[in-house]
Formats: sequence, C-alpha cells, structure tokens
Amino acid sequence: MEQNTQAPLFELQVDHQSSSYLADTARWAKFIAIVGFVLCGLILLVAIFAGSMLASFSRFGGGGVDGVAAAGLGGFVTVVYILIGLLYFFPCLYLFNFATKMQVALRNNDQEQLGQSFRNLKACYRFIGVLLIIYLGFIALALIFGVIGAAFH
Amino acid sequence: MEQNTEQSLLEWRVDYDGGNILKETTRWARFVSIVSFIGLGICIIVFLVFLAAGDAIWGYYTRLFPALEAFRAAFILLCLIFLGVFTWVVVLLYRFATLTRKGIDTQDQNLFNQGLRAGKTYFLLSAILAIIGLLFSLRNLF
Repeated sequence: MEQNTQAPLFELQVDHQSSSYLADTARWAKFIAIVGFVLCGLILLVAIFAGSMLASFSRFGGGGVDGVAAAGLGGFVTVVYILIGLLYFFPCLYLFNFATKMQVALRNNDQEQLGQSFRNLKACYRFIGVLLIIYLGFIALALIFGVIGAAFH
Repeated sequence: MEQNTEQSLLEWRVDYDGGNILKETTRWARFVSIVSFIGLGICIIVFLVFLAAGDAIWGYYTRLFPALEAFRAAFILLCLIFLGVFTWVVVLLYRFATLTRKGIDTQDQNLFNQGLRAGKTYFLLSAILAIIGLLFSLRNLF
C-alpha cells in the first residue's frame, strides 16, 4: 500500500557481478584521473616556461624573432597552454570524484554516494560532449569561411 | 546472522535517481562515442589517402634518406595498431552506453551487467593508453 510508483521502475540490483565491474571501473578511472592530473601539471609547466623559452630563443637570434615579438608569442602560448590545462583538468576531476565516491559507495553500500558517483561520471561525459560540440562548431565555421574565402578568391 | 556480504549486495538497488543519472550519463557517453566514430572514419580516410599516395610522399623522402624505406612498413603497422585499438575503445564506450541504457529501460539485469562490463574494459584500455600518452609526453618534454 505504501509503495511509491517509482519503486517498480527500478528493480536493477547492484549484485555481486555488477559491483565487481563497478569496483574495477572505479580503480581504473582513478588511475586515469591521476595520470590526467600529472599531464595537467606538465601542461602548466610548459605554459609557465613557454615565455622564457621563446625569449631565450630570440636572444640567440633564432629565426630573426625580435624580443617584443618573442615576448608576445610567449604570452600567447602561455595563455593557450593554461586554457588547455584547465579544460583537461575538469574532466579528470569529475572522473576522480566518480572513482573515489564509487569506491566509498561499494565499501559501505552507500546509496547516496552511488548517486553522487554516477552524477560525477555524467558531469565528466557532459563536459567532454560539450567540448566536442564546440570543437565541431569551430570546424564547421572554418569550413564555411574556407568555402566563402575560396568562392571570393 | 547467516547473511553474507553477497546477500547484502543483492538487496542494494539502483534507485530512481541513480537510474536516471545513469541514463543521462549513457546519453552523453553515446554522443561522445558517435563523434569518436566520425573522427575514426576521418582518420581511416586520411590513412587510405596516405596509402594511395604513399609512393609519391615516401619516394621524395627515401631518395634523401634511403634508411627510411625500412621505417615505412613500421609506420603503416603503427597506424593500423592505433586505428585498431582506438576502434576497440570507441566500440566499448558505445556498448557501455547502449547496453546500460537498454538494461535500465527494460530493467534487464543481464544487459545492465553487460554494459557495466564493457565500461570496465573501456576504462582499462583507456588507462593503458593514458600511461602510454604520459610516457610519450615525458619523453618529448625532457
């Protein structure tokens, strides 16, 4: 009598098999997230030293680039790399949260943590999906401008 | 008293909220996998164009560096391995998305478990690719 209408909709169980799959998934997801954090660190390292690397390149007369142009280019490279690092950081963070919450959920049979874990996985894929949409949009724009440019050339 | 941990796990269900969140997750995962399939298709076309026009491209370089001729087969092999592994990863992501979604929609425990299994393998392969990527990045940096 007191059963709500939602109960029969979800009769899926986290049985022994699925919990084993989820545990393995969480372990590997955590590993991927940590590798991702290390890569983010490397990207930021490159971003920090890009300016000085380009400055030293111009000091030794590489390619005839003057100091101001090298500094400008260095700044641009730094900003681009920081942006890439930030964009890469968030999916890794979501993945890390998914993995840690899933491990806690499986250890304690915690329904709340299981929901939080899935929510982070969703956020991770949504972030990647939105990035892909933006990327495809840029490609479509480039194609349109390319065709227009070729038509007026 | 006699309940084991397996039994307690069996009583644990994917609740309404969890199921809905998982359904949304699979929707985005499916989108990512379909876009990846498109990217994969583009890579295959580029590879086929390279194979078709290979003699023109490689002929120029092998005249300059005859040792490169031996590298050509290795390069093609590397491309094929990359395409094969990438295809496998994307297929696993697609299977995770579709089977888990179908499992939730039809309340089929077997399909649900198959989806989670594909997800596990997908993460395992991605982890291997991630460590290879990290090693290559470190090698290029230093």
